[in-house]
Amino acid sequence: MSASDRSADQAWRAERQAHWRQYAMWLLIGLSGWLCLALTGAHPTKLFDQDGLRNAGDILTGMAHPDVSRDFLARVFELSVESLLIGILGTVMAVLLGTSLAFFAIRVPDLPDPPRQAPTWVRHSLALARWLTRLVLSVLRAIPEIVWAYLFVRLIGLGPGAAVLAIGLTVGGNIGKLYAELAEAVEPRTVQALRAAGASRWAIFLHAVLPQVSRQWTGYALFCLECNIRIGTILGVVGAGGLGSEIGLSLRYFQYDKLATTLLAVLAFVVALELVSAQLRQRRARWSLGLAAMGSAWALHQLDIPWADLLSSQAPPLLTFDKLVVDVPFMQAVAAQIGETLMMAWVATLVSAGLAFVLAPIAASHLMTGSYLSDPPRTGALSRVWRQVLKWVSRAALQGTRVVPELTLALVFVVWVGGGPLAGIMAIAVHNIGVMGRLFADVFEEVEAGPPAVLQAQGAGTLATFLFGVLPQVKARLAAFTLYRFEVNVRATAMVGFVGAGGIGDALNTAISLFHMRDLTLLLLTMLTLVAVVDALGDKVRARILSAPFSKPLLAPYA
Amino acid sequence: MTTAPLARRAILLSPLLALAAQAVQAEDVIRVSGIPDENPTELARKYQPLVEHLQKHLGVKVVYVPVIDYGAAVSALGAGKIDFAWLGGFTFVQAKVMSGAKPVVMRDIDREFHSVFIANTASGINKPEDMRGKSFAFGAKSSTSGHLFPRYFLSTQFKIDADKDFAGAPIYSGAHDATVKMVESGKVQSGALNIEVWQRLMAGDKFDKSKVKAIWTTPAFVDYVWAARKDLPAATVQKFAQAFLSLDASKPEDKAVLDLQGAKKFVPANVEDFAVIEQVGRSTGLLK
Repeated sequence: MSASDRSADQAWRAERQAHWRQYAMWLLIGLSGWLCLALTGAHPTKLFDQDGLRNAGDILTGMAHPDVSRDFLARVFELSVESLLIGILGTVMAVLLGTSLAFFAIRVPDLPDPPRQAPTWVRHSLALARWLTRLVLSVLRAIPEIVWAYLFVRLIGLGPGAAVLAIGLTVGGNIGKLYAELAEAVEPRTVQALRAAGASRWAIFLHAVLPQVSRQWTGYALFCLECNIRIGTILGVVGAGGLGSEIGLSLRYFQYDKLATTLLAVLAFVVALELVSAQLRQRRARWSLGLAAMGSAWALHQLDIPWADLLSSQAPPLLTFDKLVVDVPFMQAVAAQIGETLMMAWVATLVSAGLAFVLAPIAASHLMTGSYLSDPPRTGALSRVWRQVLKWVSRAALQGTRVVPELTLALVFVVWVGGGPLAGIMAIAVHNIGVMGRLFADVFEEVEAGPPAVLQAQGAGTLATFLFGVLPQVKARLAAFTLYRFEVNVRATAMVGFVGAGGIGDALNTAISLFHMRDLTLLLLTMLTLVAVVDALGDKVRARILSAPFSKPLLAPYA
Repeated sequence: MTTAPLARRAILLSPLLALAAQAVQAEDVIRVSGIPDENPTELARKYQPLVEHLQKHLGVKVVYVPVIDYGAAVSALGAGKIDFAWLGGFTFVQAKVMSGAKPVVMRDIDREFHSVFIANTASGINKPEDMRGKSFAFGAKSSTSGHLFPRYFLSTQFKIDADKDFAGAPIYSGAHDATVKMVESGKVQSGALNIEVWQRLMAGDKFDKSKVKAIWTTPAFVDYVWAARKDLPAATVQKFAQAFLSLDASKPEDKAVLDLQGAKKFVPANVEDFAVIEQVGRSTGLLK
């Protein structure tokens, strides 16, 4: 055997080994999902056992006969408007808060050769401000909207105010973090040019950073607006205004006809919203800003929010830092709940990634109905119709699951399979099919057309084109997206737990409803740590998966 | 980025305007509320005649503020958003411990109140001991007769630990009538609720009586009470109490109010009556 043969042989072996390693890894991931499912004690068979089928049947029967009495429709309409206004005002608050925090969180790139250093104390206090701002941002982000909403209901009373503030804070944290990251990613030369000219921080921000990021910032704000209006339809379950109170009550009293009306309203309303927002995305930022201003003026006029109570509320305090001793049995219980939360999030992420992986390619035009070739061979009419149908069904499934908030799904699944981890896993999984489907579809659309085109030119079928032309290009990015969603889902799992779907959210709910302030303080501190650790680990692993630089800002538009 | 400056200014100014609007608010109104232990329609039906009676008797506008969460009633009382609240024994103790709320009046039945344990007829449960290993629903987490005392009696009388000895964790239905609905539907096999709501539901036709049966009634304990916030003038509290104490079952219009409340008459409430609830609350770990 010649030397070159031997090295070819070795290369082949190495490649084969790499393949095996990959298969082993997939197998391990699959096993981990199965193991986690078993450990949470969730039995998916409950979905379709006798009780499950009966409950599902009850829900579906009700859904088929929505309550269309005049009074109820009027009420649903009024509450829908309230939800819309909550979303708008919450987003405006979040953007204001996020932008002002981002201003302090941004690290302005230094000149390579600064003419004179700022005094040490200035630099240190700037660094301290930056660090503090980032801390505030992560605190805001780590606590789910529904927890904030429930806390604010306690502070300022029932009504839309609590929801507006909850959205403002959580989303403000998200926006602040993302805006800072986007701003740090701007072309550094403009910044340095201004810096060299001796411009102040404010001037740099206004003239170098803002013009470069305004488009991305508006885009993300619009995306948040959609999410916020959706969440505004459900925060009412804890008394924070909007449609949520009706959803909560109709589920509590098994009035599925009312539930149907409310859910249909949410659906119609969210789809309309997507259309408007798609329009806005194509227009200039001033359109969005103008509408936001009008919307918030209307919201402030319409929603009766006792702002003054925020400053002067005499409500009993909900957090306490005295007597904050570590209580061993309680912390053991919390550790178990964290374990459950993580496992639920992991199973849900795997399930939804798997389904999205199947549905997203079917929803992609290039693969299903179009071709990567400029001059594709003609196919039979029947096959064309069939493919169109498949594509649109898959698109509808992705769209439909994406627009229903996890919390709403959780409420429905709690009725279907009873409280506990299974309901939570299902809620997160179903919602994420849609979210990941859209993420994956976007990734598929962006592939290099060369390899799949070559395969198609040789007569390869859809599956082969996908597996050997498209997939190898995007595998790493799909994995990174999935991991990113896992991080988001950890927080979402804490949220659905709040309505009885397992995990740490249930403990949060108990602590707030029974005024166990010490427990609440410990739980919130635990949540903060958990989210910080998961985020940090996620960043590390993602960086390994993608050798190319890949940061959250690229993903975040769909966060 | 070019924006219409006017629009931007409007965003900045509008919260201030709203704030100013809030500051001007009438004060000669009495706000009352109550824990949402039943569905909102039923609550509205029960409170309407009462509010009218109070209005007539006190000579000021009385507003009923609905809440959808037990704790919200407690913190609203503490925050001074409402003046009087119809609380359960346990929520009253929470309000007393946290913000010094004072008891005013209670129904005659509240001194010796009971909870009733119910089971689905297909569950094979005939006595409380049979509930071990079956699924179970309490009412709201902060409910006295739907959670606190049922939990306490389960543990003291039958050695059943609610968190360990049922099939899965206990379910919190959120309200007494919701517990009956859950047991009726078979979603849970057994549950516990306020005896007054149970009797009222038994007298009506809101559920299928062949599917749910009562299996045990608890010993008596003290429950519901009208509570006043700490800083109300004594005269106001006195007048409010008098409005209830003067209700006379022999007068038809008073009887209508009393019937809806499930009472023959109202009696003064004493803070000492609730010491036992505080004790039970601490022993079950619900009060911390």
